[in-house]
Amino acid sequence: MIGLIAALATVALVTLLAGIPALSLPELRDALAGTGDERAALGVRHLRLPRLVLAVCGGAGLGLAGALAQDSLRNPLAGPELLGISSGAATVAAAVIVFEMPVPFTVLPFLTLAGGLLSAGVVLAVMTRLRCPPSSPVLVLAGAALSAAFGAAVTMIVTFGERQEVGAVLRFLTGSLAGSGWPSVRVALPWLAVGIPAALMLARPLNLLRTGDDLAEGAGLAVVPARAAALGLCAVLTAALVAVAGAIGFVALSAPHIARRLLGTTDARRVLPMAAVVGALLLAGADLAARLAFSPVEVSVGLWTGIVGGPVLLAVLRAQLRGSGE
Amino acid sequence: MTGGPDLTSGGPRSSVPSPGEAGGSAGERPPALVRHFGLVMAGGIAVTGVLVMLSAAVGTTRVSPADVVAALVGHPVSELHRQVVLELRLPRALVAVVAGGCLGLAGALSQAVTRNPLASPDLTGVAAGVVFCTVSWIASGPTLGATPDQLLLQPTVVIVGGVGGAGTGWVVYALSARRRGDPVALVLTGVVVALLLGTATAFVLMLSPTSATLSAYYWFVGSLNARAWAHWAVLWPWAAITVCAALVGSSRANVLQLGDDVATGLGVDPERTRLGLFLISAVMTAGALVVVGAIAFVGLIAPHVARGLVGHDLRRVQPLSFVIGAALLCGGDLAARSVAQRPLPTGVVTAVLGAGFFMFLLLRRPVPGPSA
Repeated sequence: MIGLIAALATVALVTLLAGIPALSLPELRDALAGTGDERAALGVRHLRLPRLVLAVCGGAGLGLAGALAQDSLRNPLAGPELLGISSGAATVAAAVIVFEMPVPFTVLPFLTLAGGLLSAGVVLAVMTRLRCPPSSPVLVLAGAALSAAFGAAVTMIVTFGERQEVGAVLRFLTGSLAGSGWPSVRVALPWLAVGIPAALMLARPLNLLRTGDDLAEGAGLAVVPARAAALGLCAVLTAALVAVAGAIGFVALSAPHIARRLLGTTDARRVLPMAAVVGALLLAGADLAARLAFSPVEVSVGLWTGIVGGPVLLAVLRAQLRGSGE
Repeated sequence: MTGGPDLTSGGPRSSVPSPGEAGGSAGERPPALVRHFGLVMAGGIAVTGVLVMLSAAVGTTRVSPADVVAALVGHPVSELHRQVVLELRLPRALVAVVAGGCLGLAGALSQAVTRNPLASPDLTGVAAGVVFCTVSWIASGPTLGATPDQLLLQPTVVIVGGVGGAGTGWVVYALSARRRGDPVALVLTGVVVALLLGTATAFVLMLSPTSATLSAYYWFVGSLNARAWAHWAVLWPWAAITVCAALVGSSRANVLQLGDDVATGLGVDPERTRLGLFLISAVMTAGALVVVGAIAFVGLIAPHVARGLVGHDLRRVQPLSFVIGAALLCGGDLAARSVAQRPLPTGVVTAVLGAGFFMFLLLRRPVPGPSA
């Protein structure tokens, strides 16, 4: 844990230092203090710092969102990406972008949340209808069906929009932190500030849910509301970041697995904070790579999270197929 | 008469089994529709024919059915109508019929090969592989000295797409090999792999030059807009080869459905047959997708409907899947052209239909446990 936080701090420092112009440590201190070179101060305080804050907080939120979904459904492949929550939120946001709806920026998270909650609700409804265990892969497939439908909606939206917006929408659908300034932080941060502590407080119910519905019920947990709350919170954390940075994939799916592997335990009380740190590190690191790898051209952060998260996802899938189910 | 219906029926009719020799499940008397395979097939072809006629007639310039027929058989009609029908709408309708048919048949094949009712190319990763490779190929067009649109009209693109589809399908199949009995495991793997490839595709689109991005994107969304004889020329050779191969192999595929042990006992090498049929289905999918773009779920819906109508004998299911796929895509295109003021991409219509149908299948299935 300490090592990871140190790594996160290093990434944060490099994020602030690197780029154009590259700064040295004393220059950075000056820039943060508001003294020294005017241009450097501007770059650091209005571009790099807000972006870093968003990457760290958003990444932590995504890591928690994944852990919430996986633990509450007892399904290692659950995550906002595969349950259709991300695509639901992103579809709403895409509609707002393309049709240039007069929606105040601060209201956008409410709308994306509605999209995300819709998917979460459908997944829960499918589960209730089939009376299947929450770990059933059918739920992931239902999420895939939802994603396909949302994908069609996005296509339709893009068709009705202007040709030039194709690139913008694509960038949004894979997620990018480029151009995120303090306004983005101000929109997303309140949601994350409420959502992250709330998620951390759900550790005990999540542990109970992991042991199975019957046992959880026996231990006095109201299973259905607890699961709905966990998925709802997952949607909140996802939607907040989607509203400002688009649907960044693979962080939520992979961070909890990395956290569990590092800790060697599935105890949610320890996994949740660890998943948050791993998520923050993943997203901040990926954003750094996005900025620097092909500098001065920026590649969306989603590519780099995919490079890290994709193999993790495949490994999880293999393990699940090999195992006897859960 | 009209080109469409003839083409759909030409191949299949040769392999229609006589009612007496229905293979597979002998014993109980099959339901009425199963016995009347010829009637069902004729009905499907008739519906497709009507849809082709409608496609030729409906649009900004309305052409009366009589004029459509006149234009098709070469009787004198007004030059405008002749051009609209023969140069714009007929190739489009034909492409829709054959591509939809190929997708439907490919779905029937892959469902039979994997003995998995959910294994349509969209859900096994085959389609995602085709899309990823095709997008990469055409987006690199400017470096190859050709525009994306030119590349889409060369036969090589089908090979590229076919390799991508077959490769991805193989990876998915191998990954899920440990849980072969579980239909959900294969599809789950396919969905995950498709998610990864989808991200990769988006990146190829974003990293390529803007002009290439736009062409590739408009291909990618799946549409029959502006499909002309040039597209038809790319489509039909592959379609003809793969459809014939599939129909020839249908009795072997039937045997495969009975399980590997029975197949071996009957002198069919299960692994080789599976591989062969799988390759056919991948190339068939690639041929269709390259021409019409990433149109989803036709391969899931068509075989299910076909099996519901005529039972499980692949010698019947395959031709009927072709016809139903053709009708679906042709009808979907007609709907996409006429519901909104602006023509929607056909892929939107099939995706909405297909996502609903997929959901329906999931909800209808008996509850599969995680280790089912």
